Amino acid sequence: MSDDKKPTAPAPSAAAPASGVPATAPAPIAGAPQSTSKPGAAVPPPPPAPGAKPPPKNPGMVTFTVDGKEVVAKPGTNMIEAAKQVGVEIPYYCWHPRLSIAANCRMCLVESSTSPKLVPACQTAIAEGMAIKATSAKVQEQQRAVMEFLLLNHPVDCSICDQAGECKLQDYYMRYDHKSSRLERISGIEDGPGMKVLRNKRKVLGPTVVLDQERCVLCTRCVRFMDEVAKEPQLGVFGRGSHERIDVHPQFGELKSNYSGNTVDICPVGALLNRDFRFRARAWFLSAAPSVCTGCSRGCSTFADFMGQDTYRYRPRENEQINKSWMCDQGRLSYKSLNKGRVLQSVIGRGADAREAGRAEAVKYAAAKLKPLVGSVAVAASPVASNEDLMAGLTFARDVLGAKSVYVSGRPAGEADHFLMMADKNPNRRGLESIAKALGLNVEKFEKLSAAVEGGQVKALYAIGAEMPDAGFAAKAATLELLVLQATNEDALTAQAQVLLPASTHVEDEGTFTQEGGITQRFRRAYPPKGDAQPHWKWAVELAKEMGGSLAWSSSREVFRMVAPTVPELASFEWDKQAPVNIKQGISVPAASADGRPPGWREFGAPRVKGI
Amino acid sequence: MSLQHPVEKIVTRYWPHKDQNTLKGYKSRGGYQQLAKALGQEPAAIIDAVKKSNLRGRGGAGFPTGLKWSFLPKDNPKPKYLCINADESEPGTAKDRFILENDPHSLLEGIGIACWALGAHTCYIYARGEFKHPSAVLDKAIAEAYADGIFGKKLLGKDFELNVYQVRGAGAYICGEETALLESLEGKKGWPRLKPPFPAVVGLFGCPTIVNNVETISTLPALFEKGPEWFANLGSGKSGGNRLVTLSGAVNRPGTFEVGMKTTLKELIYAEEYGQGLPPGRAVKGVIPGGSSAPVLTADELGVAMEFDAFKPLNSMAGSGGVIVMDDMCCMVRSLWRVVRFYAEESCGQCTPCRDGQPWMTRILRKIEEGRGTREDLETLQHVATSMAPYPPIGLGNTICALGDSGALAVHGFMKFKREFEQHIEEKRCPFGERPWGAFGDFQ
Ligand SMILES: Cc1cc2nc3c(=O)[nH]c(=O)nc-3n(C[C@H](O)[C@H](O)[C@H](O)COP(=O)(O)O)c2cc1C
Ligand code: SF4
Ligand code: SF4
Ligand code: SF4
Ligand code: FES
Repeated sequence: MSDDKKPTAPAPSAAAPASGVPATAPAPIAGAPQSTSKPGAAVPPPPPAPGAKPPPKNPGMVTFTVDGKEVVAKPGTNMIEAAKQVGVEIPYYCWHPRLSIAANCRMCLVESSTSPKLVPACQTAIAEGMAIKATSAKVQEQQRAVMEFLLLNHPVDCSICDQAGECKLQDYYMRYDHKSSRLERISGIEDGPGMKVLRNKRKVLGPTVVLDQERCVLCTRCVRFMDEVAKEPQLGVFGRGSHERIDVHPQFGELKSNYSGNTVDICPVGALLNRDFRFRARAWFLSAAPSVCTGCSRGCSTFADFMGQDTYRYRPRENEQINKSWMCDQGRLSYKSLNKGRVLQSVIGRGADAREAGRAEAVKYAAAKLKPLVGSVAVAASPVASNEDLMAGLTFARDVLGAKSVYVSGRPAGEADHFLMMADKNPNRRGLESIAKALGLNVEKFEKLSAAVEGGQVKALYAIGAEMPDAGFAAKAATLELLVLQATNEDALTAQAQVLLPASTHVEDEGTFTQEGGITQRFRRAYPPKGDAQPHWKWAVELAKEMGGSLAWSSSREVFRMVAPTVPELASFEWDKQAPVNIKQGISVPAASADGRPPGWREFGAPRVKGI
Repeated sequence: MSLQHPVEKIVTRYWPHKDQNTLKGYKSRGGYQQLAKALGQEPAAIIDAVKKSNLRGRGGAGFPTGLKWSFLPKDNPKPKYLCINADESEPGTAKDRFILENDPHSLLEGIGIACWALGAHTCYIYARGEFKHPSAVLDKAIAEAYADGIFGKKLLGKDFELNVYQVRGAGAYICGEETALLESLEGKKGWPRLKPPFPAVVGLFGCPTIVNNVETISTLPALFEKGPEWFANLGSGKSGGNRLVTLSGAVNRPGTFEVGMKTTLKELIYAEEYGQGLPPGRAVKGVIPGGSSAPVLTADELGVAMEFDAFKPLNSMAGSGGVIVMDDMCCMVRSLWRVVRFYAEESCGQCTPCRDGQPWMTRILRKIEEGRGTREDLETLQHVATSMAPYPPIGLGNTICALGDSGALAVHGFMKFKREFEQHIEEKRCPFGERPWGAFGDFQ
């Protein structure tokens, strides 16, 4: 999934994706003993070239041909990647650029001038003068044969398989096989079920992952991921021969890792499935927006897969500098807050007086309340908000509300782990701090605000984002005379607001985050804001306008263009160029089907059928 | 029938002595003198001598042993290992077990010579899990050798540490494949490794390792006793010495025999000192010459000498020396089904063609044998075998290790008897009825 066939955006702010083979790629060793294994051993080693080798055609590089096309590649590159350079696709299941080489699927076999047998392209490094045939009749026949082998015991229950639409078995079947199975049918029944090896169709591996052992092609990608990347070797291959299956090592009991979701991503077929996403949506109805995970300050690059105005899942997007091809489960599931528990309607008044209001009314009301307090309104900003939101919001705070400092709110710190997950659960602390500094605002700790509210020194607060590090703050906020709060999601504090303005989430607008390492990343809008929500920057602009300020921005892009040049950390960021544009477009769902819902649709919150 | 070239026994020469498997008995027949002699020579000289002797691996591939030894990198600072492959599980093969039972010290002396030549201070003997008795004999022999000061801190008194351990497998055929053996020794699942790198470069625990068969190594004392030239002359062509073969199937006198490299298959089956022919009224239909992986030969091809290279023109191989004779009342479909079922059972499941191909071929063969087969099935069978390993020649397999080839080669070989397969299909039954095993099935 994330490794190959999905659009991979160039990593924001530089760095091309990796192209080298992992260092573990075994290159044939000259003069090594030939295979001494029983029958296969009769292959004579290729005769050594008589005389001295001619010098390489391109010094420092390896020159060879693929289907007659000349390729120049770095030494050590494997055939799959080298062939890709000239647009020749060699199919593969088990190979993954970020895992060790297993060469067990045998899908990538090609003809090479250096060997009498077919060679696995994933395992074989290119050599000077080598001629590879990747699409010859012999190779195609072998690809067909491997597909037939893989599908022999495969249930082919694509109609109920979540992987359908993004399944390598399906894709390659159409491209390389396209024949019906020759497996023996149960006698007498022409269209009856074949005599397939049956295994466990629903093996719950752990809290996040479920396995269909019948669909597994035993590529061992999942096992290698857990061993080599997550460094939590919990999965293994059990049994032997065609009864082999993937399972959790007994000593672990269940697959319990913050990175287990990645095994689902790299599983080339529908064997490993995410229990959260299972039976939620058909892949072809989902569109993908390049996005960024807001789960912690690492800021993993993601795709937000969405349909209509709902996000269905996050998938990691390749980014060499930040998350390679992975993301953590905590972040992966953080998409849920984009759909649930949202503030979608402006509310004015507090407690018994509270009532819903339109946007215009709410802005008018807030402006009227804020105006007399200009100069004494405290300002809190959450590092969950984007750079654009903060640039606009803090400019409004400084220029219109007369603020001198900003209190940094945000989610409380949590646990960090050995790989990607950071303790700071806010995606944009670096951005917030640099923007505040550039605007000449003092960056103040939240505890100070908390104490000042308690002590009564602060009576009015304008807050961008409702995330607060201190759970008890909501109670203290009840004593505030005025709380104007822009919030994406409901929580204790939203109930205390005099003016509650619904803010959009990052998937509902364009923008950028600056993660803990200082890398700024652009995210794309998936769908328009839900309900009455609108971005923080837009609320700030409207409040400013109402209060006689001069902010007149009409898009987040404009905010960035106007303000970012004054922020050193953002000045050189090329907002337009950094945007990954190759969004995957899902099939647009027909307006309605028999029951009035589009096909493949399942509302969030619909009761789950027991036992799935 | 008498032998054209009489065979001077070397491997089995002392087997008739019941005390040969004790240190005392072994020493009384000149045991451990060759090790003492070898320790006085330069390791390089020993490797050269082994090269000169034309000793070839008896594990199946017939790879020149001296050449294999010379692949061990000289400048690698890591420890080196010798592993003895005593996993003997190839159907039709039972020779290593008799060496372990009858003459274990010849293996241990050979190990001493090899380790000195290779600079290896540790040797693991990987014994087949089912070898209860042979393992016990070997364990006793090792203990005797330690007690006698042969192994340990000083190898036969020389300042060269050598430790020898026996490790028991768990009953998987695949662990006889040298890299699967190494994985198993390391405590992992017996999955063959990708090659290159070969074990001589990256082997056990990532260190340079030589894997040799029991027979290969236990030949060394006799080789040095008589000299490499003598040993080379004893054989023929590029194969030095004698070899052990296991004769089974429809013969009057099945067993494990020492044959010369010039001895023919025919002699093995019919000679007085070997098989003594078939039961009365029976004739040879087919012979598997080197363990069930080796493509079957027909009755017309029995003039072939038991030497490693002689099988190449016939597109078969000497393999592990398991000779299985099938007589004219033996059903070839049934036999092939049994052979392929073994490989389906024993496939490690790592790579696709073997994991899924072997059981598929088994199912097709069963279908044909049970009279449900069609002509398409026969085509599919050959097609599947070709997808796993095209043939001829041997060695074009599309799998990680040669077990994938094995099942496919068996199928390819048995296609010499295609008419019999067609008969099953036409008659919708097995023409041999309830007695498909020929003379073999007559034994009570
Ligand atoms: C599937 C398979 C099974 C094997 N089993 C054995 C075995 O049981 N014993 C053995 O000595 N060699 C076996 N071999 C051969 C070994 O891989 C290896 O070639 C041999 O141990 C090398 O020793 P040699 O050079 O002394 O012959 C097997 C090979 C394969 C492919
Ligand atoms: S994994 Fe799923 S989608 Fe892919 S072929 Fe199998 S059943 Fe179909
Ligand atoms: S579960 Fe998926 S990733 Fe794991 S071995 Fe099976 S097919 Fe490969
Ligand atoms: S050929 Fe068979 S036994 Fe060998 S690695 Fe592949 S699956 Fe395992
Ligand atoms: S990709 Fe090369 S064998 Fe699987």
